[in-house]
Amino acid sequence: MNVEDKTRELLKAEANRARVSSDAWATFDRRRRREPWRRAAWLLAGAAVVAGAVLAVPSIIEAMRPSNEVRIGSTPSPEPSPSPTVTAPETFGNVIFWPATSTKEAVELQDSVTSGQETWMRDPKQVALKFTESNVGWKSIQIESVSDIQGSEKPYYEGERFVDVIFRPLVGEGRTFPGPRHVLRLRALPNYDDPAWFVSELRSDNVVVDTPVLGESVRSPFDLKGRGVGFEATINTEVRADNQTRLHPRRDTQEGFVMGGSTEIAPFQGKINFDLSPTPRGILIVSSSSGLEGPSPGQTILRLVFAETSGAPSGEVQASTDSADEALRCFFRARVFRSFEAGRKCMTAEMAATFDGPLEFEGTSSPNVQRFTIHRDVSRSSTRAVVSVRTYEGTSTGLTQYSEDTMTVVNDGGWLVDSWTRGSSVAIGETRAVRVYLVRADSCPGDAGYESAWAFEEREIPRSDGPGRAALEELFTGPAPKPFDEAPTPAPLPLASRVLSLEIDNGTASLDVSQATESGGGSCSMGIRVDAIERTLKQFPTVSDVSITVEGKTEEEGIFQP
Amino acid sequence: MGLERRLECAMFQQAVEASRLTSGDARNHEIARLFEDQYPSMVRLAFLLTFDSGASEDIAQEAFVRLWRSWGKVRKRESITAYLRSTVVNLSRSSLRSRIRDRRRMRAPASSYESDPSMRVDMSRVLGKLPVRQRACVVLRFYEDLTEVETAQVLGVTEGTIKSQMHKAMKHLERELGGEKT
Repeated sequence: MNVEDKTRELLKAEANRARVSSDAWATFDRRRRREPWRRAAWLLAGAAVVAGAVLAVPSIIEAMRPSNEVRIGSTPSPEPSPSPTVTAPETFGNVIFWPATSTKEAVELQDSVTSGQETWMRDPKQVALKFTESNVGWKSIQIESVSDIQGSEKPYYEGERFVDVIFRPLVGEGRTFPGPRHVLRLRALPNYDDPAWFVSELRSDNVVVDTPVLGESVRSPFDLKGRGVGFEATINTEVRADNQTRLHPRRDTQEGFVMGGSTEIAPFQGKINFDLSPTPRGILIVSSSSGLEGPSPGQTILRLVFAETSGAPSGEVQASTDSADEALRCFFRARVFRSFEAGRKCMTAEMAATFDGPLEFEGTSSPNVQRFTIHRDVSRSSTRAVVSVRTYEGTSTGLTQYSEDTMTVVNDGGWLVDSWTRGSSVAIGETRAVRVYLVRADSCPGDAGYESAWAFEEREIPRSDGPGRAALEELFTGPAPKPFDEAPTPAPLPLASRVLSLEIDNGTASLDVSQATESGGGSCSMGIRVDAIERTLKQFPTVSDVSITVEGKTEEEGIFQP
Repeated sequence: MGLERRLECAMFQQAVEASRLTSGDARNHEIARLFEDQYPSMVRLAFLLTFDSGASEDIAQEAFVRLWRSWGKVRKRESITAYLRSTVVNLSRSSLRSRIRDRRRMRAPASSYESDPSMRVDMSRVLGKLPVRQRACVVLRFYEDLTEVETAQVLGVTEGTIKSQMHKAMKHLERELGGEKT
């Protein structure tokens, strides 16, 4: 008996063990009769939530008003006070960064403190000691005062409380010499009698930052201006994402400083370039250089909000992505590096349910996807995109097969991959390598370092494919996905760019691209886009000239205009 | 079929028939007829996917409740069975996932195959090692005798996916059943 017959027989025998109750119909009848009531109950519950929210608004507004009675929460209360209604502003996470990096985390920590845990967070002095030791590297500090500053200046949120801890790090031999004065500003969630204190900013008298300001939304590059004391007229700079990824100085360019400062306080300024952040927020660290190993004697740390993120966070759940193509890149990055957790952030719940949890997504029996390439849009609207992609499978040493798949991405307040329909697999025979040209540093055409900012990635493609079109599709799909602990390389072209047609005749490549290829961006970005296309096509000896049109529109009619 | 099972079936049919006669609603009438025809096979399908007799009845019940709820959307008589099968497969997946979450492993009852000692292959163990989608493919293809196209429709995937899933599942079954004596 073959395996199929044996399986059939065993399944039949097994199925007979299933029991059907004689009162099954009666049970079903009861369940379906409850249905209208169940719906009504859901509707009532929904209405109750809405009504509750409406009624709660006046009391929330009342609670947000500044209180006349303010005290520093350094005295632990004998009994944990009941948890009040949380009215934390959503933007609270934009101004605090330690030990919580979001409003949600802050509320959770506050609840722990209220229930009698993490009692050190009630004491501003202890918060200052722990923060400076673990985050700045100062083993000992000399606290001069702890002052409640409400009333002396306008608070950021009404009803919010904050304190300044003024201290000096002890530096030098034996840590006996008091360094420059620092102010650590701590803030508390509103409406807690016994608050936990969160670090909002650290300011040094030796490093005064005027621009950017606390909680400012920035994109790369941003201007840094201030006054400071700096060894050899340099002030050190660093930008970190909330998951501790270092975004500046970049790995390939070592400019972790700006010029300025002196032995006496003097102005400094410079442009800060940084990689796309995987998290929505981070910090800017500006320190006076000591010229010696070890922590700097002066440090200013400010909260930053990133105007754009890489869309592929590693530690933090992101509910959705901003575009269909970004969702696809996020999904395939998770697929390549086998992280169900990361993939779940860019999939609908239905799509996630098709995988049998992390085991199926991350296990060795799952398809060994190495990369993907976007071919074309099957259909695209503001709520749904169906995209034809090719997924390559194999190992890190070589590709073995590919399949032409169809991905559906839906927009439900954010783009999420909704389905992945696999096509039949095609074995890859002979391959060839094509180059995809990418800019690896912030540089614009005409800049001194522009030429050296270009680099290429080699991609293996089946020899049967047209190399020109394949190379462009690889370019338009963007840089190869990177592991989650590495910052992604920015894509030179918008991810929705598509090749519509390509003809090569007598040394001239005539390329027609989709409208999205020229969407957004300034003159620098447009120059890079055209350059990336030309460099990628001119790698082939048969191409000496490139003529680009955008959905039929020629250069004379105005294309790639910022 | 044993006397006990035949009595169960007879009582079940009588209960459904009685309800059909007393019900004036066309939807109820039609669903009662479907319930009589399809309910036992849906319970068996759920059982083969979950190997949990309690859960399998609950899953089949829920599938019929959902059919009743969406009656207006599923009018074609020929697509109702496919709808029920899809619902049962999806609910079984959810049930298994929640069980995995609870870190409880699936176990077969102790009294397997008492009627036929020559077939002492623990099918729940063999199928339990397969990912849910492959298990569903095997059950739909070999127990429900669906074609690859029909299986693809029930699972909402392409025929190619069914082929590849079946290929992997068959390798596993060959390994597990190939050496067993029958």
